[in-house]
Amino acid sequence: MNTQSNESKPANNRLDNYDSVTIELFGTARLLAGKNKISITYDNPTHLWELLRKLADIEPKLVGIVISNDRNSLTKSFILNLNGDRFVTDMNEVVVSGDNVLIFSSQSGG
Amino acid sequence: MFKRKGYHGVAMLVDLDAGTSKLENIPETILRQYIGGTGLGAYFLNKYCKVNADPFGPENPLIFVTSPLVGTKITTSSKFAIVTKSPLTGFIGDSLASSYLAVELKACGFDALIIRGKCDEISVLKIEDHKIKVIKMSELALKDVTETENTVKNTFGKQYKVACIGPAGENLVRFASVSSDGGRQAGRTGVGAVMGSKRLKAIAVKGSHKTEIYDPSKLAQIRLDLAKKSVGTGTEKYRTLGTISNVSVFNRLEILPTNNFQFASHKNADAISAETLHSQNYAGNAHCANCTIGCQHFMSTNDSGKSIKGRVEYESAFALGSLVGISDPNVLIRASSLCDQLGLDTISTGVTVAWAIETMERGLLSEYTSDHTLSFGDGESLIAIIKCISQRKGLGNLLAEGTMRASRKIGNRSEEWAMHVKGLEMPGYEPRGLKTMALALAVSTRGACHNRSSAYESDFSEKVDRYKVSEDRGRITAQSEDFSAILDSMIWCKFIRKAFNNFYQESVEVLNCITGWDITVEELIKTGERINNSKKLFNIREGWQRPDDILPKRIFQDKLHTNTNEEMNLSEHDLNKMIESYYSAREWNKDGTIPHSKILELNLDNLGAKVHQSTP
Ligand code: SF4
Repeated sequence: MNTQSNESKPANNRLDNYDSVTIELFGTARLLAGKNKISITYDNPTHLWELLRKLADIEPKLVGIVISNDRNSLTKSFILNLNGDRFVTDMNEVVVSGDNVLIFSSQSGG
Repeated sequence: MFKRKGYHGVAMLVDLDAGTSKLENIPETILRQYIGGTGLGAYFLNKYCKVNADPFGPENPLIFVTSPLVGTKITTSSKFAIVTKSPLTGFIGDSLASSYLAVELKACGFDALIIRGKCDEISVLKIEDHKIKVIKMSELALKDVTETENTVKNTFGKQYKVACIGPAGENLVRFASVSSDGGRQAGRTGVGAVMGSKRLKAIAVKGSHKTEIYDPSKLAQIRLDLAKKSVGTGTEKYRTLGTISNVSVFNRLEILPTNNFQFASHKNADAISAETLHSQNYAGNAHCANCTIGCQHFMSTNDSGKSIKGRVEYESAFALGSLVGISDPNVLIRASSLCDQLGLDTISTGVTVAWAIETMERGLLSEYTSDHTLSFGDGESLIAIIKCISQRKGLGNLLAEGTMRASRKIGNRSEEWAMHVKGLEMPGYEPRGLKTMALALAVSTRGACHNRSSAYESDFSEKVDRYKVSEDRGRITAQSEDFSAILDSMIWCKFIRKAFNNFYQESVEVLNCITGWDITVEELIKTGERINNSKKLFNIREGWQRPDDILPKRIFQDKLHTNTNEEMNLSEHDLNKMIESYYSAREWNKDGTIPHSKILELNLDNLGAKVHQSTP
């Protein structure tokens, strides 16, 4: 049994995009940016806070609402998850090639 | 008569058989021990429901309860609870709704309305302060909730606030809801079916009583501060897109139950996501009574040229969307709005229909296939079967019994994919990918419930690995339930919880400021524990046994595989380990019963005759 109904998703692109990270946006973050995903390339190992700075450069509308004003972290309204598996609050964590960084609301209720 | 600030100190008891009513004092110790809402409701249910009462019998009380916060205009607290013995589970049933009805009910001059007996014909309970009248109104029979509310207001006056049932409640659909304020639903556990069993189509209330506040100027400051915080970072999701935002996130995290929990993501989830609906169907926001957040997001569509407007919450989008394979927003909005109008709980409706679709696909509902063809993703058959359920027509008559009873009747292993706990249908949180939530769903006193704990919050954090079981889940779940018991008894809306800096400390300040009590944080935490134990005591006296704390067989039998091909499963053995850790955290016996020492510690001996039924 698969978790996806009827058809499977494309395989993880970890090997193909070894020098880039994909940021996936949800909710207000997606509406502000006007896109679901943003690919960010980098030369050296990158901390999450560096990634957020690059994201803020690309999508300045996110600053103040999704990304904190100092551009080093998320505002309290949002939370970060790596690859759909793990929630991360330490912005000093290093992302690796092919990682997917998910940004969505920190309010999980419904 | 005792008159404590923040309360009236009395409950109104109505006997529909005799057409009489009387006031009964509520001792101050009881108010302090149970506060209001679901807590005080649980106390009254233990007191007024006869052991082994038939949920549809006149002896099952239907209890409306407000709280000391109602009437103070503190943001999000204009809520009431309905508590009764659930016709779905046979255990405690409770449901909350935000509504001006709560404010008006409290203004009638009592803290709880306890309705017993049964009317001869379809009737309305008209309440003006302490004056109670049962009025026959057969013209309301089988009317939807909007028409019912409008007719009652036109008859009695616009100042009356109305709670009513739709045709589903009248037809004793076991998961019927109670509607107020033009569609706010007390949805879960079949409270509307109990109201229907009493042939009570509506209650209409108008009051002129005020409750005194111990420290009004301090309360005004608290109210202002909280209103400001309520529009801060802790409520962003609810204000901007609403709970339906969960659809795209849960789909990505592979915890969005799809096709009757056969999958954990839906290939067309984007089509029914908040992001898509807001760009295509958005028709405005609304606030509940005295709420500064305003999480209600209306969506509009049309049905054969007729414009339809309704709220679509996450739980409706899951149950009437991914769970039944739907990815057409038009169908989702219509189905959700139809359930609201007919007075059906959207979660139980969707889960029961999903069971029926799978059962039909497996060839086990052949006696019904000449009249009904159901399949995942077929929107028109979904709309048609919802109507049949509310009318108890054909297959709808079987499904009106809920997933547990329908699957038991059909047999042939169909119980294995009947997605309920204790008879209450599962909400939209995939337990195989959320292990804390798996435990909370299994042990909750009201069955598969996402609201009487917020256990999923730890799964959405760094505190635990959501894929793995661990022994600390028992403590986390118990604490989360006790926290929720305070939320639901004071009664705060759940969506404000992240606006507090320190929930218990701030709640104590509010309570003391209203009542003049000297409650401490420790006492309030104990109160949460007492309330959950009182609910469990009710279930024990109604026949709860250890095997009732379990998840549907599908959860153990069918493994899921994530998109990165990781296995996502939960064994019965692992769930039982977590359940043991939960009983241990609660200081209960190994079989899940409550030791006498705990009953005494929590002053639950005031529940009288029921105590002796618990294991010593
Ligand atoms: S946050 Fe939403 S559900 Fe809660 S009281 Fe406000 S509008 Fe109602």
